[in-house]
Amino acid sequence: MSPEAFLAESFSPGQAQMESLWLRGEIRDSAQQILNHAYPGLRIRYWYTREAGSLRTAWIMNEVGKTRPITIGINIVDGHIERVRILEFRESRGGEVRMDFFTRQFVGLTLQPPERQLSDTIDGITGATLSVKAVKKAARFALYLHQLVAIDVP
Amino acid sequence: MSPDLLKRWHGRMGVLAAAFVLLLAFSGLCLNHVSSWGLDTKALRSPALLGLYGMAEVGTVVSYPLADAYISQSNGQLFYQDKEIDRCEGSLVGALKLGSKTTPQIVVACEQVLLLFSPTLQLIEKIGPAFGLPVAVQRVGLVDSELLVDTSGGLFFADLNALRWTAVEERDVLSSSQWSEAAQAPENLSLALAASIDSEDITYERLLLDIHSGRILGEWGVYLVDVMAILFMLLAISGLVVWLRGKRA
Repeated sequence: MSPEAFLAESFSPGQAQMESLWLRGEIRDSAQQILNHAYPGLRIRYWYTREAGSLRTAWIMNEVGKTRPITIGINIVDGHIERVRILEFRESRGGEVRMDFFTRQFVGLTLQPPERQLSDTIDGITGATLSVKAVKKAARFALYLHQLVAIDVP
Repeated sequence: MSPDLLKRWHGRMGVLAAAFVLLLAFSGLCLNHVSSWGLDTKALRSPALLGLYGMAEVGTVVSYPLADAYISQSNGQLFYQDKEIDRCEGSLVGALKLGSKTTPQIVVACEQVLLLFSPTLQLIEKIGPAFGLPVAVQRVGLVDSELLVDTSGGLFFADLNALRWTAVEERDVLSSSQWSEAAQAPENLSLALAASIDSEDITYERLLLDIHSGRILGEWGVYLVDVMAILFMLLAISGLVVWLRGKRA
């Protein structure tokens, strides 16, 4: 799935605005805690709409499964995951995370304090442990970032 | 077949198979533990082993000057001087400094992505087609401090903060544009970069898999392992027959 198709699925045509978030100081520390490594960039882009008090955001990020980055699209509405899509999978194994039976487990999940864990368990896939972990980390990170921008977005 | 003849053949086949059994058992054992032993991420360094994959030759180094240093690409990796900074998608096509004295940034242009770095070479972000980058990028330049991107689809002024790409006519800018031009890096730097190996490509896991399947020797290696597999089956069957006959006697 292309990033454009993911965004078209997430927002009404022409409604989403793109914004950037600088990852500095405490945000970088939190990213490190969630991802178990430093986020490879000082800035991340996101798309959002605010309608009738409801904040909808979309995040596209890369997270390494075993050796190659998996491009993951995550759409969040008011702190709940609405959809997770694998936009590009480059690993030689673990491609099952692209399937709907896996990604639909994330729908409706929120971020639970204080450890910033997902609000429900995600069933693993035999032979795809690292890819599953990568998608879970990306989902937690996107939920965390959504919480941050929810304060700032008008 | 007489029992003595069967035993003799069983013995001969066993001797022939012994070395392969050891090789397959050893490679199989290692393959079972590639992750815990780090063999899936450790890259081959030996020129002799890399030669088996046709990678013994040194790669081509492309360099672009950046102030008094060089941004280079070798074996898919990007370097600032001899320090690896990231990877390029496509070929490296330019590098330049952007912005005012207060907020300078460094742009490294590859065919499929622009990499934006802070002055201390911390990656700010990668800007690819998902962010509207017109591809394939062929070169980058400056016109009055504005970034100009020359692509296969035409010329564009690029605002990397607002992610705006404004098409521009070639005749309007070419006389005032300063393009990033490739240059020859110092010989010692080029030699060091040419010897760099892309750590993502050939790992010990790949080598073990190819030894285990016979692919390390090409197509005939696979047939050889097939023959050995048939030999192992014959050994198992003949061994069973010899044992049963011995038991009856």
